Amino acid sequence: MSSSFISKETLNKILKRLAAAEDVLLLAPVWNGKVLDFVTVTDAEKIVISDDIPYKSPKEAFMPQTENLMTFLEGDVLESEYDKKTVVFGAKPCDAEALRVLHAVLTDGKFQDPFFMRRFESSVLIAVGCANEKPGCFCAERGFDRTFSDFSDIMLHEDEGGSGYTVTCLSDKGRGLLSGFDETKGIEAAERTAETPAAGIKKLELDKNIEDRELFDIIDWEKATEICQGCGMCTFICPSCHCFDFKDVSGFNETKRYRCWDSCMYPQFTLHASGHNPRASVKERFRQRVLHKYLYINKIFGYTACTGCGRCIRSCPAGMNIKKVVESIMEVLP
Amino acid sequence: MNNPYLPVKTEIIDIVQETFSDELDVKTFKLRAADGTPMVFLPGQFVEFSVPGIGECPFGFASSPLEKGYYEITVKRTGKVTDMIHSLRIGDFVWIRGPFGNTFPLEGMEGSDLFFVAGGLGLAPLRPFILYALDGQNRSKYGKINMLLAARTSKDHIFAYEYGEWKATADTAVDLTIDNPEPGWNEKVGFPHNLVKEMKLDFSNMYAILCGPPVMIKAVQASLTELGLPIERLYTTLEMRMTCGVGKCGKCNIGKQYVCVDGPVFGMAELAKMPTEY
Repeated sequence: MSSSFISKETLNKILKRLAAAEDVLLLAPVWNGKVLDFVTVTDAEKIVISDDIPYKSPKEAFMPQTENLMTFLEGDVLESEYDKKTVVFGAKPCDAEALRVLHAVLTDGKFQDPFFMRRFESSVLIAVGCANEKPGCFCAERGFDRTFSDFSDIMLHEDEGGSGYTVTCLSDKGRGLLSGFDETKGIEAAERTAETPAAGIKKLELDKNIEDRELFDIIDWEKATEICQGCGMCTFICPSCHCFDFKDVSGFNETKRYRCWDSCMYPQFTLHASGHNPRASVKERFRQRVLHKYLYINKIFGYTACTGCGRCIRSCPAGMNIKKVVESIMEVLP
Repeated sequence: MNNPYLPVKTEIIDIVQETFSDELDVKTFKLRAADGTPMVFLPGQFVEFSVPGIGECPFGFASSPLEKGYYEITVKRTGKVTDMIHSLRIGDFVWIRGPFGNTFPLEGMEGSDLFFVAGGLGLAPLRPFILYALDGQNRSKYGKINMLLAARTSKDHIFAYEYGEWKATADTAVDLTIDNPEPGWNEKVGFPHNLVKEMKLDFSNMYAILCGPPVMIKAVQASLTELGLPIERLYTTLEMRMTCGVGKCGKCNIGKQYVCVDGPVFGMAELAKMPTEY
């Protein structure tokens, strides 16, 4: 047994302690009767450790679907407070890679998003490597190692005997968490880096040097989106989608301002007060979703905002497939 | 950490009714932070204006950046938030955050003639630049200044009470136009894209700054290009839905640009390369 080994028994003990800790929120995959979902766990027995990909990503730990930002009260404005420590357990490497994209968009550049930052800084992401590729997954095509992401704080990799995990710590937050338990005091985290996907897999990406406008007519977007219902499911289930809106909710003498997830798939997203809409049809909105992920964000931040988790493909009610759309663009590009 | 989403309590210190056609739908609001902190901004930038419980909207600055005691925004009543804003009174408090966005290339245009073409409310975001250039300490930095200010009717020209002063500034010409003839109207009649052809302007060392309805901007751009003004010497400012103002929320994204951070001011040469999703 190597010193970077953590047995399943020890892991369960640690999860129990985290679930019981009053100052820590533990988010982990739990079977809710329909799907495997990331929820706040108080009973560690309910945590499902499996190779399956949870229905939703743990994005909500860093950017909740609705989050109170501030309250207007008696002529003053009060910034919402947040002092929770969060441990996310059971994320997949694709989820950790998606968090890298969120981190770039929300914290790089002239302005930083303080609400994302405080959640990011006070959380520890424990990812578990995937043993197998699941239907709809395409992380290898996106150039990722399904067993590893160095944007997690702690990376677990099931060892071949199945009795436990090899532990890798990728950040001070991860090392700090691990050294806080008696059970894991002796563990020397293994050194690991991501492996490049096998040769022969063509990387799914778009060349940053392409002019934005060039891709507007390169494929038939009308045809590519003829089955899309514009429901926005893909954006809500995506671990790297991050667009949002503000909503005010008024009580008797106070108003709370919330940040709510929004979706580029909805016509209201870009609708001007004048009635003019720069992206008036589903064709334009889906094109925006694909190109924002694969071209624009890559040009600005150097990352593609799609990690191949396959959630949008598995959950689309109409059978839209972003991988096939990007492949069709790559086919016609010189 | 500085929170770019947190607005500052701001007092409405004056309100000016700008248009006098049936809708009376444009007002200018003079604002000052409740604690007196001056708003330091540059022409072209904008603020996010909140009425708690109703919502938040972006508005370009409409006043001179040299005026430190207050700033102004000009609002057309078109929707939920602007309806509410129009019902506000002097002494009411609102919530403002900013300044956001980029600015007109004030220094890059020094030494050249300036031609401002505005349609309707499009004059509002150009006014900070106009007032900056007309100011005594800056006037000599620019050549001849021409303006062509269009409105639907004679009652819809905004800042009309100021035109006299603008015209009185050295080497400055202000032309007004309306869509259709009206009794007693002695200025121009017709659309700017036709009128610029008759104005006999010298395009050899000019920057043109356009703002108005998209259809006007496109038509004027075509005319000016035809008259020989290189596209590199044309600028405009875009209007988009913008929730955050800081390049995060995704709404104003056009290609690799975010209008709230990389704009709202764009050179037409740059705009020509961008997707036309505005």
